[in-house]
Amino acid sequence: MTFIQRIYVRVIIAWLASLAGLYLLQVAFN
Amino acid sequence: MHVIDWVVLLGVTGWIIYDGLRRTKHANELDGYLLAKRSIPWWAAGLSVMATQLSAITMIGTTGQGYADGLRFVQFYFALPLAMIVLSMTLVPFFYRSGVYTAYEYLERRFDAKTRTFTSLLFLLSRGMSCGVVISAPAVVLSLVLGWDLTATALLIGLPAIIFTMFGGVQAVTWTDVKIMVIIVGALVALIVAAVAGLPGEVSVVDGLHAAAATGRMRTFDFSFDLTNQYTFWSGTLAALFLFCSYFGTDQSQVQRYLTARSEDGAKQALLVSAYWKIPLQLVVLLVGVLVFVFYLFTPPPLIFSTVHAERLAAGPAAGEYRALQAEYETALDARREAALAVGAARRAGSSDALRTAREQFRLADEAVDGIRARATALVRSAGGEASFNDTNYIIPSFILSQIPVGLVGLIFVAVMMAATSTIAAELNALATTSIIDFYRRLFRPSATDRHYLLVSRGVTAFWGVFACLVAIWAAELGSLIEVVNRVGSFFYGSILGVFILAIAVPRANGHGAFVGLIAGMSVVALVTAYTSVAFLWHNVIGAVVVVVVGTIVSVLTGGRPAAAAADQ
Repeated sequence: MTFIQRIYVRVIIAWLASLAGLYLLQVAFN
Repeated sequence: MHVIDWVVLLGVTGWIIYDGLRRTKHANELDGYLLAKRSIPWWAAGLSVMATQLSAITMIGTTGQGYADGLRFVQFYFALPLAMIVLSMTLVPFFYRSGVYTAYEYLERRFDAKTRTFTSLLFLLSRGMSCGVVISAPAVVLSLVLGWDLTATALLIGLPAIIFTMFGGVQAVTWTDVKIMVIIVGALVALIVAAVAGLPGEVSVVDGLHAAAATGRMRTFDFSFDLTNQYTFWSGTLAALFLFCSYFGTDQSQVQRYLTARSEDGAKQALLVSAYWKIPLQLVVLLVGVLVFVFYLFTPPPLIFSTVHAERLAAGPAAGEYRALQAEYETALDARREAALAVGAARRAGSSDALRTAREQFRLADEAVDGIRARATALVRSAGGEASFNDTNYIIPSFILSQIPVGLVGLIFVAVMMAATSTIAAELNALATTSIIDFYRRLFRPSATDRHYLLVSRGVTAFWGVFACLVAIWAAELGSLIEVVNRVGSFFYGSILGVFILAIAVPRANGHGAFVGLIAGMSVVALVTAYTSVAFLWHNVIGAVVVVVVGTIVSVLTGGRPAAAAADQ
């Protein structure tokens, strides 16, 4: 994997983590 | 505003401009002035991309939206990280390797001069006008809140941008953006701390957020598939993907930011900074609004946040009606405060049934408060004759002035104003670049010296800056014109993305196909806008798809692109 491809993978992981975090926030308060 | 806040405001603004210009090198050469000789580190270009997208409207309007509507607007940004990856893999390498100054220059290399000229003309028209809106929207609010003259406020926002963009070019824009982003994040954190610190001792933040959640303000996902609703999971992930690909991939005010990076990977990394940070940042912006809402559950908020409008109403012919609403409002606020305290008590007692009942009672109490506020706003609109009055924009400025300590107020208003300044600077820079590269050098003076182009670039930057300030000052008179131009701008967003998709993904597409496709895409979006209530995010999808389909058909019918040229791509 190239340097930039590794960053793409990290971005996708961070993106999924953001969505999961937001979903948990909604669940925690509703 | 206190004299200390004035010192902070003017001092920090002056320092940002001075330091931006100090860091500028090679601004006497055209590629230094317009592309920084491709010397900017990726992280600085990345922060500049973020600062350009974040305007004063975000600081005032979006935080206010968080107060009134909660977190659901965050869904709008769900597709942004994916768009950044798509662009890094597709358009960025094409732009960077071809050594272009503008995104539209690439279209002439791929298609023809008419496609380039038409797209760049659309950009100049829509961005030129929107620059005025970026200044006027916060200028109107700040001039009323702070008691300043509207023209002076518009100039205070616009002039720094004109000065450092004119003399420092893209480097000054980038380095000021870096500092502005840091100040903006600091201001948002300060607002959160102030809202939380202002809660009564017996109430925790979690109690307050539970109360906010009872009104739907903590909803971050809406999975309903409704084409007329702007903020759903589907519009935020599917439709917004097209918008962000178009904005970050084809709008010169953004493309120019990452073309300054030192390498192709650097340009990609610059875009990916937003991919990491945009969703968390937007959550913080909206959370500021939600926490200010929680704060005002326990500290009585004004019926009308705009003091000037409230005073006009109290002194005008509708004063009696306003006083009656005020009395009703105070009673409703007391009831809401009790209901909010009951939510906290039920939560601590650990009974889910009691919590459900308390939340429902709070929701009803908040609905009553909202109802009275809506009537008061309607009264401002009818009695004050200001049909477009929106009190939501005054919530956060009012909170800053009444709840933030002296000194910090100045710093937060620097963040608000410089948020606008950074957006305008990037746009002036892009407008000047497009005017010079795609029009002046292409059509009028193809072989002048760098020195000549540089001189004209500075003049054109000043011209667009003055134009934007004039549009901002006369925004009220130009109201319908600005709306028309913005509407035309929104017609071409998805369509222009379609042209770039044709350029990259359809090897046989030719200039005729791209040009006819672009006009067809814009026309279809205009018809959809006029005759349906489909939310605007979906217009980008429709525009892009129509351009690709029509552009491909027309290209085939007109003989396509020579196979040799297609193979070269």
